[in-house]
Amino acid sequence: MLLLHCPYCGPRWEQEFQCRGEAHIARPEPAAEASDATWAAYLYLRSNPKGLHYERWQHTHGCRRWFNVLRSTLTHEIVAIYRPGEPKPELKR
Amino acid sequence: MSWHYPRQSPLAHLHLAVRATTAEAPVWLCERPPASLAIVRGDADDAGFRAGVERAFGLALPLVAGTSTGQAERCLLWLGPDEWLIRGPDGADLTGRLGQELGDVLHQRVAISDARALIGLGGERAREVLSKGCGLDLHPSLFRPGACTQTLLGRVGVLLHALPADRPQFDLYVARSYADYLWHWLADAASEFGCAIREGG
Repeated sequence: MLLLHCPYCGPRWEQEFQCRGEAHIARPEPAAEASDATWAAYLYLRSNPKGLHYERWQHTHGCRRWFNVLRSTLTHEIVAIYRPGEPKPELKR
Repeated sequence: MSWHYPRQSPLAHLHLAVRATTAEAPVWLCERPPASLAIVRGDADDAGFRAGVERAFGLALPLVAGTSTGQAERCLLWLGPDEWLIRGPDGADLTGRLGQELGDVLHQRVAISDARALIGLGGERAREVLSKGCGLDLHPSLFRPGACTQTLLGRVGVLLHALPADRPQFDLYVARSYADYLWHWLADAASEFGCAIREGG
């Protein structure tokens, strides 16, 4: 089980959260001028890495706020947790 | 044409009033009498919002995560960085008071009195009962009297409030339709310690 530190509530167990997919996916602007290929990529193409992955999570059964998690899909290691709008932490190489 | 239905507790079918005892028990359960509940959302950094809520209820807005102000029957509970639950006496017009005091200050207020059931849980082994279905660290040094949090208990979303009392005592706010399930879950979890039903008041 993962122990996630909600930026608002503190450490909580995994069942209180939902993973909402990859973070930092920017909507093409202006949307009306985006090509079909750009729009399809925005909707469907994800990085799906083996390793560190930027994710959005929601504390569904707690404060209901969204936040970002940098998590390894390989080891489940949680490298960083940060609020929406905060800068994306750089990957350790 | 408006239609008034008689108000009935979601636990009425359990006939708790006639089963209540005053016997000492390691764990006790009760249904709290109806209360007036409301949710208010607004910007905690806005001094006008904070002052308006304080004027409306005479209680300071708790700004630290997982804390509350006031006592059991009259309190403000922190739900999120911009969201609070207000509990007042049955029939109190909480949203009306908020509207008066907040006026043009940007906020949202919703009356939820009939959406929640209130279950009281207490006794020396009450924390152990909760721990059976909740992953939260409920040690009294962390989850102190006055603490409150929304969490999962027996797979149901609840708002847990540790009452400011000398002996362990909790109020559980649960969606009305889950009240029967949660009551039976609690009674089952508490049965190994010995569980008494109390009067709610």
